[in-house]
Amino acid sequence: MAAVTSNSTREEQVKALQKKEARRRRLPLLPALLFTIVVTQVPFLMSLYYSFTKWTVTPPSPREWIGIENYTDAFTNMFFRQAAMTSVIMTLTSVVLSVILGTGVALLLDRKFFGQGFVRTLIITPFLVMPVVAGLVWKNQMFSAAFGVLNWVLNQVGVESIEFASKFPRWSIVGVLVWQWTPFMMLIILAGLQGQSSSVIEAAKVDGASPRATFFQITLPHLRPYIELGVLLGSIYLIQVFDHIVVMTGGGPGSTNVPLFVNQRSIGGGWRFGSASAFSIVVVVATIILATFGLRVLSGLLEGEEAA
Amino acid sequence: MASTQFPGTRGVGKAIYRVLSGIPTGALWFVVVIWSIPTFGLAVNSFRGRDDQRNSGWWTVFSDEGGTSLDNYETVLTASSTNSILESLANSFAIAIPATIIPIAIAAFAAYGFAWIDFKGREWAFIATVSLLAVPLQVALIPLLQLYSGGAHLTLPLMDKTLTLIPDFGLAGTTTAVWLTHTGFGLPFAIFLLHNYISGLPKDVFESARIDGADHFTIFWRIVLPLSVPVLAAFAIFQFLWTWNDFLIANTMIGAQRTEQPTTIAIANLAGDYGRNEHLLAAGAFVQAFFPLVVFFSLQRYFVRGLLAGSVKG
Amino acid sequence: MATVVLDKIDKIYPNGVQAIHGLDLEIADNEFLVLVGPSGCGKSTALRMIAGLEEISGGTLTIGDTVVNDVAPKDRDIAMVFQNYALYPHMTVGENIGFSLKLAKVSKSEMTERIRHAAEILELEEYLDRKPGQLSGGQRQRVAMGRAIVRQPSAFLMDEPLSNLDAKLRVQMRAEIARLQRDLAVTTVYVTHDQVEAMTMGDRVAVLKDGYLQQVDSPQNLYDHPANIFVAAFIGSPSMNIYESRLGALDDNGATLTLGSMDLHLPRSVFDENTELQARCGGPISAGIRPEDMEDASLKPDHPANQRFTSEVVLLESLGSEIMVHFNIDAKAAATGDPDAVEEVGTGEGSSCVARFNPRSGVRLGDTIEVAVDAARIHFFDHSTGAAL
Repeated sequence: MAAVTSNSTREEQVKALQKKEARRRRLPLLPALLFTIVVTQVPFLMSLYYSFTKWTVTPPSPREWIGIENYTDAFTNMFFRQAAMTSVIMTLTSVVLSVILGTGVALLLDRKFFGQGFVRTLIITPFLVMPVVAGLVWKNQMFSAAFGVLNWVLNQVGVESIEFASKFPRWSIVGVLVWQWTPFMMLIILAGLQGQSSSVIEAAKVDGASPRATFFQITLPHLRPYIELGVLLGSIYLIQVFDHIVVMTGGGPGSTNVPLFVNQRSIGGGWRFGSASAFSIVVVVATIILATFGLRVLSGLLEGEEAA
Repeated sequence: MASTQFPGTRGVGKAIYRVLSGIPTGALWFVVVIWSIPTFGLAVNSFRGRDDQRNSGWWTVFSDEGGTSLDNYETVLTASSTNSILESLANSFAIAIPATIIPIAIAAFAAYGFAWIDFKGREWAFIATVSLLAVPLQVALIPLLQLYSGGAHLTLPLMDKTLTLIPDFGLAGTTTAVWLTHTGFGLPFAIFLLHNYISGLPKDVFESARIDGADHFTIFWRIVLPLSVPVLAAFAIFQFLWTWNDFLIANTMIGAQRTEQPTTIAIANLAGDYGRNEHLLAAGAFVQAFFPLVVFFSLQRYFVRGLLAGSVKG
Repeated sequence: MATVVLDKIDKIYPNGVQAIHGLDLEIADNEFLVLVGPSGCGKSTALRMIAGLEEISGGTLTIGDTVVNDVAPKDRDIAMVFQNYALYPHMTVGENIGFSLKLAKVSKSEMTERIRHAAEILELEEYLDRKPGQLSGGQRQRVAMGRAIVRQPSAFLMDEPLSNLDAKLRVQMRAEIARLQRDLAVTTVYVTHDQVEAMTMGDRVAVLKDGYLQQVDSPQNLYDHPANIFVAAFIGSPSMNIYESRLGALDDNGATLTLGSMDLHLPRSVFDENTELQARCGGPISAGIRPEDMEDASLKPDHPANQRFTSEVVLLESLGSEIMVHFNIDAKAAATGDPDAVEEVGTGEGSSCVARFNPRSGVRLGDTIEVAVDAARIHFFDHSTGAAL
């Protein structure tokens, strides 16, 4: 009995010492952590504060605490709901289309052939083009009624010119985004294809799988985590799309997404910082809820599958 | 059963196989051509004069007499300060380089902290940091503009006294304001990406280093950083592309201050100005795109590896 | 159940490299044939050609009664076990085993029954719902086996299936696969680089080197009568000690074999009925002595004095049941052509020699001792071609 007691006190002592030691060792890391938290959270907290105020620059007026009025406005604002819808649709369609096309291109590239490096370079290039330029090039050289390649092709088959960017603003933008993001998805998925053990494919061949069955039953499940990563990274960037829209449609019908909407209401001319902040906070909270909920469900499903 | 798929087929089968195996390559070249049309058109236009560009599509260069020249490039690179790309290139570097390197330095340290140091509230701090990925930039731009143009002041209620929390550093309209902003916005993504990677490093390496007597600081510098080169490079590519190609933040922070403008604004202005200089846009875009191409293709072997490690179990 | 016949099979890669040269092999129904050889000898290529995963450049491959040169793998009625098992990571064990049946549109009830049966044979019943990632190496190996046997193919092809297991498990699985093959009575071609596996498992063993077939025979015959210096060195562990040496003139008592500075007397009986060996008397020859044909002379007092040599013990490895004793011999080691052979560490003059002693031998490191050589069991090879004499 006595021995046990002394053992446990000794254990406690050791634990306390270890704790102290650990604290001393992590000390040098605190500044970086603190800086990160401050730099990333302070603007957010400031926005949170602004969102409860009425604050307009033109006409200039003092900042005034108005409680949740901005939020009730946000939830009833039809244009905001439209912008949120546009954000969701644009992001989803661009991500899905670039993943599908990227997978196709990756499958085509996953072989040895003459001119491989050259082809890869050509395909990747759109990903590196500055958004403003990408938007302008497509608007002026692809979609334009006068000098657009698409319309030139249409004219050749006897169809009249269409000013795509103003007739289909949302889908024109999605087109450009897909052009820029397919290469990125291709890179990730190609890595997935090259990471697949060749003997698994051979085993499927010996087991009697046709190329089609091999792709859908063996390769695609293997690619799933790669596709998920592509979707995640693509969504992070595509939800913030702004430059393309400004130069292509300026927010024409159906192409105003949340960033553009918030911008229009704040630094883009509206100067109603209070309500703009409230819109943003709503979006952040919605995203966090969606993301955590979605991730829970998703990982729950995955774990269930693992355990089954 | 269909034995034609087997690459040993003789005679007719072999001929069919050869045709079939040619399809992917053909399809690939087709995709490549389609994908390159916009870039190619831009390239062609960068060599065409103003009137040509205004009056016809770029493909007419192959049928018409409309000549090509290097004039646009010459103008873009040498013309007076009102539209010199060269000057704005310097500004772009002044923004993109610190905005790439500083977040990496901070985020690597913080990611290591989040991944390998136990402290209270670690998970919450991590989630709070990473969830800021979803914040529309515009939200944070408002408070930041406030900070840069006047510092931060807190007026205490009832006492009629104003405290200056952060003085006015006169950052408004400078490249410093732009890269500071990019640094802040880059951090959540950097931490997210680096944390994925660093938390996936093998635990025994750290334990063996600790047995060898290394503290966290040494472990970080001697082990974590060298092992993390791929993910650091991957983030560097992302962040460099983002900051170099960014229009929104630069335009918000710098706007019309010509001497501080990066290339993106200079080029966008070419399209503006009532189209006076629009014919220079293509050439300017190519000059501007040269550097991201160099950065990407020199680091590309790390790019995918860095993104994948930690998120996808090989 | 089928015979597998390889008739003058060639493999030439598009870059002109020839991996297999005119390989002739006839694998009988129900036979367990092991293809063995050092890395890069073409054994895996040969197996993959039988499977249909590599194109056959020349010659004819017959499985059963059908020429299958141009038949797709799935139609060859074979099953293959891969070195890294090649399990489908996203499928459960049951789905892995049943995948080929599902593709062949076997009815659900029959599929369940066959999977259950295969799992029962391999004692995998409890794991049918697990994913491969949750299994140990040995269990994964069994799943790979299950995937092969569930198809009831006419031939099993196994490509180094045990090389990723740890030593103890390997020995256990070795016996299990051999037993399984006997029970199921399915023609099996088994590729390995491990000569112990080859000797213990195969009905017959085919030794390959550089794309050429060296010898096909039963394990015992390979050991007793290697066709050439390569097979002699490759089969047996530790390897046969082979030296460049000289054979003296033949008289009624026999002849003297000179290995560097030492002489061993070969009795006349060695030369009887071996005219080829007689013809080499008075010239250079490669002589091979297996470790087990040497013994501590102090344990064999009756051993003729002229069949002994004296050397210093430089290394002792005691295995309990036997002792490996290493000496230096000042004869030059003969080249055996095995690319995997361990490069001899520069010990200056001479080359190493390993003997397998009875553990009762009291030798200690550094002792200079007398070694008795069983002269009648020395192997001889042509000095230049390496062919056995």
